Amino acid sequence: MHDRLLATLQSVARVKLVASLRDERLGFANAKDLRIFIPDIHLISERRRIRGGFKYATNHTDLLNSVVLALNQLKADAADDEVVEVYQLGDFLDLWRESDGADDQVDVASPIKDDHEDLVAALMDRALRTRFLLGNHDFDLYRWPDYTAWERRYYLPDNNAGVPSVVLLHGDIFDWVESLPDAIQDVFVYLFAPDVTAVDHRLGSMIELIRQSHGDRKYRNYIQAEQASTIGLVQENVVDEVPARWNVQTPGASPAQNLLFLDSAYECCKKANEQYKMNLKAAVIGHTHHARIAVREDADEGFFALIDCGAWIENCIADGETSPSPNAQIAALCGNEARIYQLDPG
Amino acid sequence: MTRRTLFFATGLLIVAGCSARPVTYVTVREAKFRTEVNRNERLKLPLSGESRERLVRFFKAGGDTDRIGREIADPEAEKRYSPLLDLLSDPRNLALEDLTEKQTFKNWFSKRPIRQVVDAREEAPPAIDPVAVTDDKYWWVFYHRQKKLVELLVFKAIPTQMKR
Repeated sequence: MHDRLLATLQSVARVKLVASLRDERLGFANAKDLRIFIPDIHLISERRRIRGGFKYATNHTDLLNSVVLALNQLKADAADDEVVEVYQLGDFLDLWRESDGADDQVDVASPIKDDHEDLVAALMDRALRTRFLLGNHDFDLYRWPDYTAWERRYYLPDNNAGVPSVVLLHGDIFDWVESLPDAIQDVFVYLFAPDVTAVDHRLGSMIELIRQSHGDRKYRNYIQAEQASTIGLVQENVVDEVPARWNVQTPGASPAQNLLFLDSAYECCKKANEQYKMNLKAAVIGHTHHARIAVREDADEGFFALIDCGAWIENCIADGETSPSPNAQIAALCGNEARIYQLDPG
Repeated sequence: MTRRTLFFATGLLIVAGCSARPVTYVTVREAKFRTEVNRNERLKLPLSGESRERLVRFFKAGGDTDRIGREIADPEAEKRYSPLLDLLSDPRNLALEDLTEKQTFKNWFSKRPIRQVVDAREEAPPAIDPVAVTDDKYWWVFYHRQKKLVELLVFKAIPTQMKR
């Protein structure tokens, strides 16, 4: 199914491989089950973009719209025994930049959606059934009726073991593991505990943490990456025969910025495995705007993968390139293989 | 204002500001209080002569379709709403911003528009949020595409000031 996804993406864009990892230890073996991840989009209204003087806006919205329409067709064409699911990993709508701090009575999301009607309609098309995660820039949506189905995390099952093996998160929790360690316990339970419902108390604690971590930042010059993120050697022709490992970041061999959150994610998943009897082998995140696959192979059970799917805002730069490219990444997981692609308009 | 009054007023404002306030949303009412039973009967904008007549009949019946053609619950309805229906019959007044920013309809809809409309007939929440406004007697839900108001649903409001 990876090849069909690749062909689908190539039908609307030039596609380069950012990273790939084929490994039986990923814990997502079903070759007829394709999960597709669309990372941070950070939409704001055009008026706000101009008035707010923001340096960065969402990249290639027309291309992203075409990608989503193509994914809808891919899903429609899937056989009865195949699964194609699309996840948006949070920070779809950037309420924080739209409003200079969300007013709890103003529906900040609607004007953003009004300005990006085609993309929003494509992504929220009922046939596609996109699952949405709440990110730190759109977490306030949880309070509004339209978004009550949006989640704080999804677990993907290991069909062999029958327990979660992959967790999908926005990823901002791993910021707090380092910056706000005292606050992390409640958030950990809220995010990882399988039997904890999203009650007001926990959601309220979460929003307070998010506001605390935003501080007074306005995000006018950048959100996550002041400089273009380095994504390693990225080549168009590699997609002709995708290698089992491409651009996989590992401790000892990779620079520290390429390993960001690997240890935090590993520790959180290890703790969740112990406390909640899970078998998490991989975490899929957005948030950092830095597309990469990072792996720990020295861990207790020998393997843990962080699949950071990138973004559709800010820039990246590949080895050997002299100028940055706009982040426009799609990731996928199927048959114990994870891939991240960089897209450019054809 | 005395110092004591000022102290209490300030205290009340602080308490109100610190409390989590529920968000505002609108729920679509039962069929007999709506201008449509099904979505395919939704009024198209700009209003045609036939749509105007449908609306006037609905308003005269006090927003209760059981009464249409049988009783007149609101004899003043046509007079009251005719200027608004005139505006809604003219495509020049039907940009999204006529509702959200220009206040073209402020004589009828003085309160802030609400963008969250819960309609249990739908399979899922809308991708693009409609705009709901009220003249206190009715909720007017405007649906838009490409920033043009294209469809309208009206239903009887539940008076919020009534003692229950």
